[in-house]
Amino acid sequence: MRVALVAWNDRLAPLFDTAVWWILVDCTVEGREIRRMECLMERTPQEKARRAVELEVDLLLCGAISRSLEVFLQERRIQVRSFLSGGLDELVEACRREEFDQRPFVMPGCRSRCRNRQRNGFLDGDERPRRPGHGQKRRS
Amino acid sequence: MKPVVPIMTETILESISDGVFTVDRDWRITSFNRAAELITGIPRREALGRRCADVFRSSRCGDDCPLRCTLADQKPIIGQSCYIVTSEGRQVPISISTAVLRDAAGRIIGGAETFRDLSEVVMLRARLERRHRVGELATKSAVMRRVLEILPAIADSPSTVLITGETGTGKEMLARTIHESGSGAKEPFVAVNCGALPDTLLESELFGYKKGAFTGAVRDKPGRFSLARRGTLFLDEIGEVSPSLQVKLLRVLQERVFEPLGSVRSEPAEARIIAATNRDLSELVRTGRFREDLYYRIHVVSVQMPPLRERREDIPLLVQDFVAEFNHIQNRQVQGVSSEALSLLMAYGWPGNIRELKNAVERAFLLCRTGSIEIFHLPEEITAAIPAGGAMTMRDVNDLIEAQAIRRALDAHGWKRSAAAHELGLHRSTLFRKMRELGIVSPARDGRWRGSR
Repeated sequence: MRVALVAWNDRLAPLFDTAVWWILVDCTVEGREIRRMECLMERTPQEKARRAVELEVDLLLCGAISRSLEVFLQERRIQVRSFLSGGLDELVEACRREEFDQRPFVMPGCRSRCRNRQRNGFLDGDERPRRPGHGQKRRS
Repeated sequence: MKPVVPIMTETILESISDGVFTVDRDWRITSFNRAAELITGIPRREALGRRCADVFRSSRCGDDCPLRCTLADQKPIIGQSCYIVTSEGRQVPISISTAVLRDAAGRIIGGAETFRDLSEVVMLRARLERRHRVGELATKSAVMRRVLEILPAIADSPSTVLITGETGTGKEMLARTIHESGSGAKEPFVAVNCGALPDTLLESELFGYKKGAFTGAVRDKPGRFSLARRGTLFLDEIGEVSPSLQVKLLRVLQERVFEPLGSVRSEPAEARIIAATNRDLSELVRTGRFREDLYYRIHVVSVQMPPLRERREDIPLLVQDFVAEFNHIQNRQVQGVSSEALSLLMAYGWPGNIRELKNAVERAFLLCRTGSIEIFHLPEEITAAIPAGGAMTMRDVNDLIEAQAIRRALDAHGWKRSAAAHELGLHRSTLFRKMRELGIVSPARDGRWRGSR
């Protein structure tokens, strides 16, 4: 599974559209993590979204994001956890435990958005990628 | 009792329509007014104490943050444009101003950011922009607006259209716009320059040929009429077509069928025909070089494209479009054209019309890699009127433009100064004074010369 965290210094960047860096975290089946950084400076917002598709990102963690970009990514089966804030390490840890919607990670004014997300799920049909050992068992 | 000044400040901040927030030195929000709540959609209680970037999430947050720049160099920033993203993912265009906050002892305690919602301005600007554009045609001139007003009616009708106008005025672009605005927009638009091909080649290009029709015809080739299907066939330079081909075209237009070379079977000609010429077709008819019946057949609806010198107000809009186009093609960041250079472009006569203007901008791109296009980036024929020495002040440019406008008006009225002054909106004595100042000398025979009476 590949997770992309849009970064600014050691925190999640406040806006995906204009982000300059992201950190790609590959979680292996054995539970190891491989991290690398990639510069997005020269790319337009649309090119950033297309790059996420090219890199076969499964999960994107970001701050605010324009609706059109979020829809573009979701239509290409990329799970988007948006309007989050916090330190990158804390978010990677939260990603492990699937605790994004906890208060410290939610941007101000976005509580209702996260409530709806929990209630409705991310994708219709829910074909989102899941970490090994998670998902199906919990849903049954 | 609360001190009066803070209460006043709070009341003022709550009553204004601009969003205002303040941050401490750790970038935590310390105040957030009512307008800030309305514009961002974030309640004050959720914003206070949070990092400003997490609340504000603008396209400038991060290393490019205006408030960060202000706190670094202690200079305020006024009215910079960017956008914020609401929790629904909606982009809200705003303008930002920043200032440093100090305590009574003059120590920096944080910063203040003021932002204004520009949604309405952007919407109105877009609406205005739509009024000035139809397809790729951009105009602000009254003469072109008259053309654009009749364009929807022309696009909806299947009638043959004749577009006339000097070379480089955008006849093909108008034809494309007519095609793209009509019901056949999804069908092909096929353009043929009738003046560029010899007669026999043009015939086979238009109608196509069958295998074995002539030596070298080793397979069937569809003509432009077939390729256009139910779309549009644009016949440029129709005035150059030979008499024999005129007869064949007339038959196609009358009977809506044609035969490819070497074929014994007719094929339907379903494409809409738009013809264009820079020649005076009625004059060609009068001198017998163009068939009268074909002229009337293609002259069902006619549109005259005005020369650029009659729509000078469109020059800034066209230049802006060309700069954007070349920036995109050549991956440059040219900002635009300086006001002095634009004044020269506005004053020039443009015998080659829009094509010449586009070439001038393209040439300027060779010399100007960043910043704005200046006078010295322009072609010589445009800058020829500049006095030797090169450097030109705004006053020189204004004089140049005034002199050209006065000469044009005088020429148009046979050097009758009263009529020219009337056209220019000047008093006669003002015109005389300006002519003297600008060194405009009357020709030997001018409007006052009565020898011919």
